[in-house]
Amino acid sequence: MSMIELVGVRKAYPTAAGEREVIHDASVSVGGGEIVHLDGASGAGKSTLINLCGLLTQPTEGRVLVDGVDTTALGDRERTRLRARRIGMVFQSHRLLPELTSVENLRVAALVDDREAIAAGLVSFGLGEHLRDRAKLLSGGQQQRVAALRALVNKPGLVLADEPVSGLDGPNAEAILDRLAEAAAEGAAVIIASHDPRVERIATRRLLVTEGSLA
Amino acid sequence: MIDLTMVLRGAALLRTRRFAAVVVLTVVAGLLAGLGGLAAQVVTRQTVSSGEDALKLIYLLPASPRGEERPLRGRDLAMLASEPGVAAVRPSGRYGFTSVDESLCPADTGCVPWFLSLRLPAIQPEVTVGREPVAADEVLIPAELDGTDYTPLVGTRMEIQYTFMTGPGTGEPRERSVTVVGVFDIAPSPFEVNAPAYGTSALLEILAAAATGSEPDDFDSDAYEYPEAFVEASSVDAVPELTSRLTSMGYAATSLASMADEAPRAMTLLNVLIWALVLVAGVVAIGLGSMVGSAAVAERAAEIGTLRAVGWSRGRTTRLLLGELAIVGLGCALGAIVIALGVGAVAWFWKDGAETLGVRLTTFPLPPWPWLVGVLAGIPASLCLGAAPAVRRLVSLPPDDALREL
Repeated sequence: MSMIELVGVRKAYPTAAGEREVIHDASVSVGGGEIVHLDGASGAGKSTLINLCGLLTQPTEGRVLVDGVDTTALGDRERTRLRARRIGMVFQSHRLLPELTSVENLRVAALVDDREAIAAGLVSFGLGEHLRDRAKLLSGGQQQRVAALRALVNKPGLVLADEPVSGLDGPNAEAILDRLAEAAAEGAAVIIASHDPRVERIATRRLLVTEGSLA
Repeated sequence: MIDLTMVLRGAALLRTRRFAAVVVLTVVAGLLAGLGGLAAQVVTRQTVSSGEDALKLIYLLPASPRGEERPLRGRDLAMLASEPGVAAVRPSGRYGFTSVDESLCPADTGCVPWFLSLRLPAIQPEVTVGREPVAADEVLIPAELDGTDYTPLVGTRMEIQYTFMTGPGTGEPRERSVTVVGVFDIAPSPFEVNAPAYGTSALLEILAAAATGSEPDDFDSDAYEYPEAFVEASSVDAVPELTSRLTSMGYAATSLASMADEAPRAMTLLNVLIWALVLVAGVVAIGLGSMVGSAAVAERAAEIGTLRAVGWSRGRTTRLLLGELAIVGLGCALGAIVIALGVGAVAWFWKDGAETLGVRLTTFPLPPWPWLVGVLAGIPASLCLGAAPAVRRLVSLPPDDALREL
């Protein structure tokens, strides 16, 4: 069974000039263990697709199924619960809470507040010296590493990453991509939206997004 | 719990980012509480006992504000006692004396005169230590005056000096021994001066005689024109008619019941001013609190979106935001209470200045507990209520929209 499935999804935003459609009739299914690379130019709709898969926004038409559950029929509470338990997201620009430490940023997303396990995870990811540093004091690469770990803290079945290695140097980008690959190896469905060619190293499938359409 | 950590961290951050607004809110709220305490403590109404005995009394003066004169001669007052509806007539006045023993007087001012009038418990302060005077040589004096504590004098003899008039505008000192049988706390009254003392009618007559140049045994109380008198009605219900009758007889008569409803204009204006300031401070505090709360939440839209995106429910996010505001508000409230105590301390130690405005503080002007509760609850509430619309809107947004909010 697929972990995430989009069926005839259309997403449009209201504008002063009427409706602007950003996703046209998108249908895709991603199963556990897969790493799907969503490629395309800036503004093609990659982030919108990621947000739809992550239940951060609702489709204008169509259905989004997460682990077989039709999320378009759910209320906000159920969708929020799904996001917390089954979905992990690496945002563009990390979106860490700047005044919280590395550990605290992971604890914010963790379903089980196990500080020791969280700290161990950060240490294994090369962040042992920055456990108590506030996120705003970390480098860009360190912040994105923390963001990646936050997405994986609950071992979600679906991992979504929006430009996770954009602007990062080689070692940081490799470390993050390796961690996403590990998640897939453990059974998660991974979707990475990026026009960075380094993602191809771990991807098992590539989808091209062109002006809101999937190919 | 991470939630508590975030609430405390967020509150500290809010206080830093909105430091100026938080300080203004604290100061305004402090003034609110301080002025509220003063307004509650300031004696702006002339103190008149509201007991039934007091309400039976009618105050007589030799002349009315309209200029009509009817002297209060002893014999006339005695005849008044037989008027229907009159239970008793009590002539009185104010007669000055000083202590012979200068050690009893403040070093900086020396002995200042006390003014003896007839003891009328119904309209005068209660005896706090000691008992009521009953004999001709017994007096009540203030427990404290100009920083001097006279309580230790209770039960002791005191030599007093007063003036025996020997001619128009001239007199000689006379001394007499009296017993201080009790002391009282001074309370503002329309019948009192700054340094009152009370005694029996017998002592009053001795001092009244001296004021006319008569020895006590030669004093013609029937012919003497008393400076004031109190007519006691047989009942409270009889007071209005009796007052009217006395007025028609030419006396300048005012019932104490009607005096209790009157306040000196200056004191009333001061009272109104204080309450107006309290109201303004309250409006400003609430308005400012609401603005701070609303702005503090609005600028955190992206953070709210992140929390919602990683799985925080609307309720959990709302509790976080309002918890931060409540803690900041509580801090402001505590600071405000400190300021309020400071306002009270300034007024308390500037009592003399306050008294020149016709305001007498009898106790330290602590804000009454309803005001304290109002400040402790009101400031956090104003922050939270002010932020509530923004919180509701932002936590209800799809996380994607919140993340993109500028």
